[in-house]
Amino acid sequence: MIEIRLEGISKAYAQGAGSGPVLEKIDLVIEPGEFFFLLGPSRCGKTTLLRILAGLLEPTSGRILFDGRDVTHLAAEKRRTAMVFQNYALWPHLKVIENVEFGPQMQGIEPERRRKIAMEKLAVVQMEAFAQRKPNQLSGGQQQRVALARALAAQPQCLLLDEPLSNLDARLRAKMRTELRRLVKESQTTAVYVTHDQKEALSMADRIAVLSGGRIVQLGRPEEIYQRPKNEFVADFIGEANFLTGNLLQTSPVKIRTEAGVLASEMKTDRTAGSAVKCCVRPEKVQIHDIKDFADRNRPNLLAGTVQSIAYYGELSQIEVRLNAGVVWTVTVFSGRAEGLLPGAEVLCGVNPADVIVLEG
Amino acid sequence: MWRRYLEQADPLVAAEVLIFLFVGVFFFWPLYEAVQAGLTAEGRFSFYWLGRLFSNRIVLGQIANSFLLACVTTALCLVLTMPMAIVSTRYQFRGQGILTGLLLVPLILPPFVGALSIKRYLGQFGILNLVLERLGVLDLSSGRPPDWLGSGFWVVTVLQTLNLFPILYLNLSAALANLDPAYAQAARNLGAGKWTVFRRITLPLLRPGIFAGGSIVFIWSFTDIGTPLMVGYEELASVRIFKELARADVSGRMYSLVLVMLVLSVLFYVLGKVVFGRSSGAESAKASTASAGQRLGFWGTLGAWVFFGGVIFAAILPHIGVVLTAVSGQWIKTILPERYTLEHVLFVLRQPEPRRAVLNSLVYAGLSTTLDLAIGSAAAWMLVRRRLQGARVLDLCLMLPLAVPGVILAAGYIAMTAPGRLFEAIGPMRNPTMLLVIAYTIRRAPFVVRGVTAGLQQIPETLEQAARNLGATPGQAIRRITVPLIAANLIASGLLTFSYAMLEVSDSLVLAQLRVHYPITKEIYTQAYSANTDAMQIAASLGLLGMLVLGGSLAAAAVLMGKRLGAVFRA
Repeated sequence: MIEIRLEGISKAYAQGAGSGPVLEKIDLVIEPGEFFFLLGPSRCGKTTLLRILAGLLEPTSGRILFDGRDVTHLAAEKRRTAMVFQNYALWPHLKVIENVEFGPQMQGIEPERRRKIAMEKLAVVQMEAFAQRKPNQLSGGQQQRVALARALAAQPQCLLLDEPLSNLDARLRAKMRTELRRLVKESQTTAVYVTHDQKEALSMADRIAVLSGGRIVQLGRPEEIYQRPKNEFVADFIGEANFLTGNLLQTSPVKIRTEAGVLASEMKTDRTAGSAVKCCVRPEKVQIHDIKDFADRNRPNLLAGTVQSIAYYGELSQIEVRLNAGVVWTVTVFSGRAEGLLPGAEVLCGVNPADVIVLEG
Repeated sequence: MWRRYLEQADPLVAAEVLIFLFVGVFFFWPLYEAVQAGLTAEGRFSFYWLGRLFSNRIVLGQIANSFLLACVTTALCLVLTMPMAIVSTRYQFRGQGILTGLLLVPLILPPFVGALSIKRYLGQFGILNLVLERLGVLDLSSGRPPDWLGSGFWVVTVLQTLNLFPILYLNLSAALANLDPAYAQAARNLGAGKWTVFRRITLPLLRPGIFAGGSIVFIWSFTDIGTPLMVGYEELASVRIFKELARADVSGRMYSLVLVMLVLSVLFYVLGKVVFGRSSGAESAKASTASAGQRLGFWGTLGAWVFFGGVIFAAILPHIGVVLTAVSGQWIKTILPERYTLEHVLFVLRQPEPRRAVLNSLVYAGLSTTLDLAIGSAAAWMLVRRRLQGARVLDLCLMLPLAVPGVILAAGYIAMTAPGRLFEAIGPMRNPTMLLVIAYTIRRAPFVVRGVTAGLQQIPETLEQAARNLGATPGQAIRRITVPLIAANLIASGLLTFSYAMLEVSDSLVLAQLRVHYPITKEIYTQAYSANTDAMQIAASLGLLGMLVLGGSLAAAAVLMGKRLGAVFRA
């Protein structure tokens, strides 16, 4: 278990390959034993950062410290980071057991002991029966397990995972999330996991760094990131969000006049009254009320609108409501709640002040 | 300061510099020397020799003949291979694998050796006429029987076509296989007939493949000397260069011809590769539908067998003749030898000169193969993995020998090692071993670079990174992961290079001038032209030995590489 500390890591490629820096001044501390996620859309720099940690790329500037030791210029083979590659990178000419043994062998462990280690790790991922197979005789899910066993067998200081589930089908992917988290936590290794899949990050991570354009835009536990996104990018990238813009009426408690009505929020803000703000509400935090249920339609946090469409997804339904001023909100409700609702119906959208998120910038 | 610089130096960059130096000194420098010699008269820069050349009708006629020969050969190859490529990629039939595999055999059968038996087949009392007499078509006892050899032009064309068509076939079938069938289906869907689809859609999209393969065939036949020399057709520019190079006083007149041929070859190469051969982008797109070959019925399969089998048989016929000649005791005016004997083969193995020639060839080929593998692997690594600065230029330099014919480069070596020049010590009159090895190396480097590059491109870089990540040093990663994964490519490229070097013609005939340095090919040439009564049998026996070595190494390559063998021949 090591602590990983990144200080001002930047990476820029020579002209040609894309424009601008890939990573800009990344500062980050990953706690010992933490399962840490780098989450972001493609080309946000997350894989580059992981490869810098592995020593497969060198940063243009900045330092990497493992437990306080500077490893910035340490060769990849001396870092004792074990990576699970997106395409698994299992060597096709070596058997499963030989693949898994490779790490211990490079550490100079004698044949008998390294075979034992390898078999143990294969047992952990329930692949010991396939030890004598070649990688191309395995299914995607099996290859993924072997790749994990190979990384674990190297007894690394930290485990690096580069979108390890992206090549699996949806059902297997969902199943592997829980299992992978269990295996990683059981190994008691500091682990860094790269993904663009927010569900993966939210369900597996101890902490998440959301990356965009080579910078960390938000850092926090999954619930924090989801419930209190800092800006529009995070709110939009992680889960779905309904946005409204308006002016700050008062600051404590916060009240915002938006084009669709007044919204009160329990969040604190350091901005002054009168300044323009943007806020957002998660679709599942919106309640739909029949317009007849409320006589006082000018109460705060009650926005009038018209149902535009209703999409049925089984246990949930998604309702699109056109608010005043033409803003369209998405509302997610249990399907039972949407019964009897038809497009064209006049409704009120209610929001709890605790669920109104005031965004930065 | 130097010390610190050396300690920090990347060994790969050092290797890159060394290869650049090697190519510079032994490829560009000789060409420069030859060009300069062609542009110098009485010690000064002058167009004198070029002027003389362009007013010499005989030489111009020979250049025209070479051009015509190359055009006809390339056209014949195209006509022959287009239907073959279409049948083998668009249809499926029983035995397809064997037949398409055998199609590659002619590529490694040296036409130079095959040509030895051509008089046996086509001479006035050759097998063809004897068969015709047996069938009652001809009467050999009265009048002059027809001489099918004629001037030899057509024989050379046919022999070259039968030798070179696989290069075009490989390029065409690769281009066809990469073509998304949806292009043709879309045209059919819009009402185009089969022929229209071929003419309007398929053919234009195949253009890069046609020109890529065609330019190699063209340059090869444009400047080949082995086949014309053996057939006895000498009205060609390349043969003229060869004859003049063999003389003691090589003059500016010869080098001006070398200059013209060099310019023409490079021009055709550039035309083929850059101007017409530019990719249309059609093959970069992934096929939207798999092109499942249509199964041929009984008659279709039979037709395919007759067509493919016929071409293969025609291509190996000359070599069958060589084998028969080698083991024939007496063979005069009969269709098959009257008596068989191993006398000549044993004679070749016992006599010092032929035996030394075989040994020489083994040494030259072995050394040049080793050198080629080292250079080719290093260059491929720089290009594919490290993307070193200048690696693209290096790759281009190593591919250029495809555009520069052997006899031209050989002329450059003669110029470079002329008495009084810097490299005189390794010249033909001293000890050309090193020069021959280098010449073979440079000529075959493109195949090794391509072969290894193809191998490296097929293995994802993450496989090596995974090894580094688990604690392997760069050396360990290469040894444990990379080399085993590209072993097949390395071995196949090596064997191919070796077998080509064993039967190389241009440099061998020109650069080996003293008998102690003769490789097999020069010894065959010398024996065939000697006054010895058994000359043909002895030459054929040498050819047989060469083919045995070659057959062995290629069979091994085919087993190791399987279908990937073809990748080596794609430029």
